[in-house]
Amino acid sequence: MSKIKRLLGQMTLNQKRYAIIMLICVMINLILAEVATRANMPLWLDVPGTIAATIILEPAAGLIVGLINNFFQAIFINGPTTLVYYSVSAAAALLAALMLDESGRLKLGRIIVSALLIIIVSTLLSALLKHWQSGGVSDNFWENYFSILAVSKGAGAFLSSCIGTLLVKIPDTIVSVFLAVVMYKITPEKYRGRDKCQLL
Amino acid sequence: MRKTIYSLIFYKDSRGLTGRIYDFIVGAAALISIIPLLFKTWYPFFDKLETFTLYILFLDYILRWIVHDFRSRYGKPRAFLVYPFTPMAVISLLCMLPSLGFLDQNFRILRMFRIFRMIPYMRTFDMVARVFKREKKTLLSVLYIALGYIFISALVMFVNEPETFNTFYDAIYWATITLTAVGYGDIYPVTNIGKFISMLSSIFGIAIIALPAGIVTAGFMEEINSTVRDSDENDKPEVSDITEAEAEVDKNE
Repeated sequence: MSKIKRLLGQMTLNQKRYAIIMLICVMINLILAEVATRANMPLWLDVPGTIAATIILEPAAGLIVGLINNFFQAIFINGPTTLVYYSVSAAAALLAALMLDESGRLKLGRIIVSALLIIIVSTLLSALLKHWQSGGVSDNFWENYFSILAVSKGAGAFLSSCIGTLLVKIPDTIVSVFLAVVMYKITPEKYRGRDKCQLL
Repeated sequence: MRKTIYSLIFYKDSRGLTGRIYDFIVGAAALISIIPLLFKTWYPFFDKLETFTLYILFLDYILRWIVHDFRSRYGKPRAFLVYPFTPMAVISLLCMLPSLGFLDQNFRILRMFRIFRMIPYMRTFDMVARVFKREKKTLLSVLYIALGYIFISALVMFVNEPETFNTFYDAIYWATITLTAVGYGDIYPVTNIGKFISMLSSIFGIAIIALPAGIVTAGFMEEINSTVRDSDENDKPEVSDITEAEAEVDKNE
C-alpha cells in the first residue's frame, strides 16, 4: 500500500491528468458497449472512449485505451483470440488523430473525413477477421441479420459479411465520433492536448 | 506521454521504482506464460493465464512500437513502419501468434520464444551479450572452420560409404553428432576406411568444438575482472577521505 502511495506521489500532474482521462475513456467504452449489447442495438459502441482519448490527449493514449478495453473483452467474453480485433480499435485511434488540425483544434471537414476512413478501414478489418475466425458469423445480431439478408439477395459469403459489418459500422462510427466530440467539448481546455503540465 | 513511456522502458538509471515494477511485470509474464507448456493437458485455468500474460506482452510490444522513433535512426513515419521488422519485434510477434489462433497448435513451440522477452530485463545477459560481441570475430572464425570440417567429413564419408549414408543429409547428421561427441550410434561407418575417417574426424573434431568454449570462458573471465576493477575504482576513497582517515589513525596512535 505504501509503495502504491509512493508511486502516486511520484506522478506529475500531467501524468495524473492522463491517467484519469484514460480511465474515464476506458469506463465509457465498457459501459456503452455493455449497454449496446444488452439493448440489442445495431451498434457496437466500443470505441467512443478510444477516439475521445486520441483527440483529448494523443494517439498513444487512444491506443492504450483501446488495448485495455480489448483486454476486458478478452478476459470476460472471448479469450485471447480477441486480441486480433485490437487492430480495429487501433486503426480507429490512429485515424481519429486526423480530426485535429495543426493547432490541435477540431474541424468539421476533418471529422467527416476521419469518420469515413474509420468506417472503411474498420469494416474491412472486422470483416476479414470475422470471416477468418468464425466464417463470417458475428456476435452482433444485426450484423448477422444484414449478412443473411445480403446472402438472400445473392451476394457471396465474404461480400455479405462485409455488407453486414458495414451497415452496423456506419451508425456505430457516427454515434462513436459524435460522443467523442461531445466528450472533447465538455473537457475543459486546460485538460486537453499533450504535455500540459505547465498549465496545471 | 511517449517520453514517459520511453523513459519507463529504456532509461534504466533514472526511472526508479516504476521502471523496476514494469521490468518485473513483463519478465514475470514472459516466464509465467511458459508454464502451460510444462503440462500435456490444457487446464481451463490456463486460458485466463494465457490471456493475462499475452496482453501484458502485447502491451509491451505496443509501447515499444509507440516510442520506436526515439530509438530508431529513421524519422517519425519510417521508424514506426520499420519496428515490426526489428529482431525483438519479430520474436515477440512469433511467440504471440500461436495464442491468437493464427497458427496451428503444432506451432505451440513458438511460445518458447517468450523466454527471449526476459532478455532485456536480465542484467547477466548484458554481460553475456558483451562477451559474445567482443569475441564475435573469433567465434565466427571457429564456426566457419567447424562448418567446413563437418561438410568435408560428411562428403568424404558419403562418397566412401554410399550404402550406409542414403542421403547427403544423413552424412551431415552423422558428421555433426560425431564432431560434437554426441554419437547417438544410429548411423555409423562399417568399412575399414570409413572407420579410419571416423577416428580422424572425432580426434580433430573435439579440438575444433572445444575452441569456442575456451574463447567464451576467457572472455567471461576478462569481463568479470573488468567489472570488479570498475567497482573497485568506484569504491576507491577520495584523496581527502584518505587524508582524513590517516589523520584519524595518527590521532589514535
